[in-house]
Amino acid sequence: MPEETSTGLWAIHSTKDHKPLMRGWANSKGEAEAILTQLKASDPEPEDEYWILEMSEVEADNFRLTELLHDFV
Amino acid sequence: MPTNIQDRGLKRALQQVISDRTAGAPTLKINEEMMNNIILEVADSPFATRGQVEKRLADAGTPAERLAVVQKGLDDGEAKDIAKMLAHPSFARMLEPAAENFLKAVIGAEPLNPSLFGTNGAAPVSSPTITPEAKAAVAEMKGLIQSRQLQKYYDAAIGIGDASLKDKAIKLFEALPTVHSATTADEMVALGLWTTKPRGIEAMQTSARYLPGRQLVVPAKVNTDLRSGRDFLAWDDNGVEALTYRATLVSEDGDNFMVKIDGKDDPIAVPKETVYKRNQPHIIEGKNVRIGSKQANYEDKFLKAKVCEAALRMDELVGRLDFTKLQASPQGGGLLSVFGGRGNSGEDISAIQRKCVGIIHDVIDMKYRTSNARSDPGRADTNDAGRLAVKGIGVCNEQAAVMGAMLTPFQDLIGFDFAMMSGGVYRNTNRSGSMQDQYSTFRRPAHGWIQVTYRPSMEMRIIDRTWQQKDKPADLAYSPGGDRFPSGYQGGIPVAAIESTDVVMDGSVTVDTYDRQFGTAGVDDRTNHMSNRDDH
Repeated sequence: MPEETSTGLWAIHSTKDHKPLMRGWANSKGEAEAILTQLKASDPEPEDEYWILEMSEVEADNFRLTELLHDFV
Repeated sequence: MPTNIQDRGLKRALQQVISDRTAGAPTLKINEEMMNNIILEVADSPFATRGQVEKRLADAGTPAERLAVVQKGLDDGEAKDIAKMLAHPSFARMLEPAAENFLKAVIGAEPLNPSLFGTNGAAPVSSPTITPEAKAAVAEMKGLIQSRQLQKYYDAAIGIGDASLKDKAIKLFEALPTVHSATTADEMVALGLWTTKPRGIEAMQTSARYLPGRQLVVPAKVNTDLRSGRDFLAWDDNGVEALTYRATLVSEDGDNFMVKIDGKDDPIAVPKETVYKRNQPHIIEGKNVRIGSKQANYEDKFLKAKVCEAALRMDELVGRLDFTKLQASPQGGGLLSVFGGRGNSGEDISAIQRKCVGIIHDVIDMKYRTSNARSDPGRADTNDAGRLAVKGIGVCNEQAAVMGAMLTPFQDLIGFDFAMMSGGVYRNTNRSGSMQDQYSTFRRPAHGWIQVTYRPSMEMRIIDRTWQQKDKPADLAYSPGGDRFPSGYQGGIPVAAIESTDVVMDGSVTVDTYDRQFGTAGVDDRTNHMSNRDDH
């Protein structure tokens, strides 16, 4: 990941008809791969492409919020 | 790091702030506005009702006066809880400096710093300085656009092109004027960005937002079965209480608007407050525009360059914008001011406005997050709006945020409102499920885009950068083929209050919407409506 430090968080993406979406996130590459497999099995219509990508710091900041929410409540 | 907040009200308020932020732009910073619920919880006391406290806070003109109101209601438990929140590194990182300073001041951890507070908690912005240097830079950029050399300058400035050009490019971009939401059309002309300003701009800026015929997003009992074709999100007596875009404002009745829902003959009453909540624009002004954890900085060389480039590229179109053409004209036996509908004098205005917005869309160079995009030389993964616009990377909300930052300086000049949208998609919905099950799936936020409402036509369209749709009518964008559902606004951004000129329901002014749903026979009418077409 050029110019990035490792965040350890992974995002799961897919696209269909050139309409990409971020489908979810995970705390490890293995977990992301498991979610990817699950999505492929559960999507009513298969997407054109699925992929996982380690989150950048910018992306990861968002997902730390969820962790924070759990921390506070 | 478990952090137990004791005060129940404060815990609820904190949850709300974090949820709002999570639903909003991915890495939005928490500003003072977003902390309103927390502040209210603290300011509340056994000796003052919530309403009284709200009024005192609203009446407080300065941050110091607000602080005094809050501290009056502060108890020991709340002070300890706020200290815990501030000590949490993740929470602290999310706070804007003004918000952090205010919370610390509430518990006496540091003095209030008034210089941090401006409009919406952000530092105030100043008018662009019209200097000979700024005008010369604008003229030089205009020449680069005409000679098609500008991209070389961008490439050089970000270090991927002609290295010998780098210093010159950066110097040019830095010399450009700062253009933001407070910049006037006269200043745009004085700077040389525009040859002439739109005519009748003041009339456009005070035109009605709620007038008979405008499209709305409202809750209603509708058919949410994606298999229902033309009936999708139309009225259904046995349907689900859900949001629908298939709604047209008809009239007003006291505190309600009467709204025609497709599929139902008689209009339904919808509380005005509900209509405003779902249809008023976001207030995105000054420096109250955030990309990730940073505010968009209109003084940044790259954002200046991209905003100026967009302005220059739309110059010829701006010269054709003439809101004075929207004259009263006889229609159907009555005298109506006709705004923006097809087949009348308003047509050109809306088309020109949309082309201008299309230019803003096109000057942004961003790609979705893929491994290929990351390896593209010079493509930045950052939260710096200007740098992202030059050559950036981002998912839907990030690209929408950059687009929002770029739209902001133009909204009052070109004539449009906009809102940062958060919504679901239809394509991953199991269509064999019940209406309720389908709605529960496709209303779940999965995507972000911008909803634009042009003024004075109040024509509703969308811009979706990641899906490469720069100007899609809401009717199509929110149809099953459009594959997105307008679940709501992104959180954490203030919504505009109603102005005295916003509601004109006496029939003196209307939107000519006969063709929005039904239109010219065989062309725009129901026989050719999106629900009957399979080409989108």
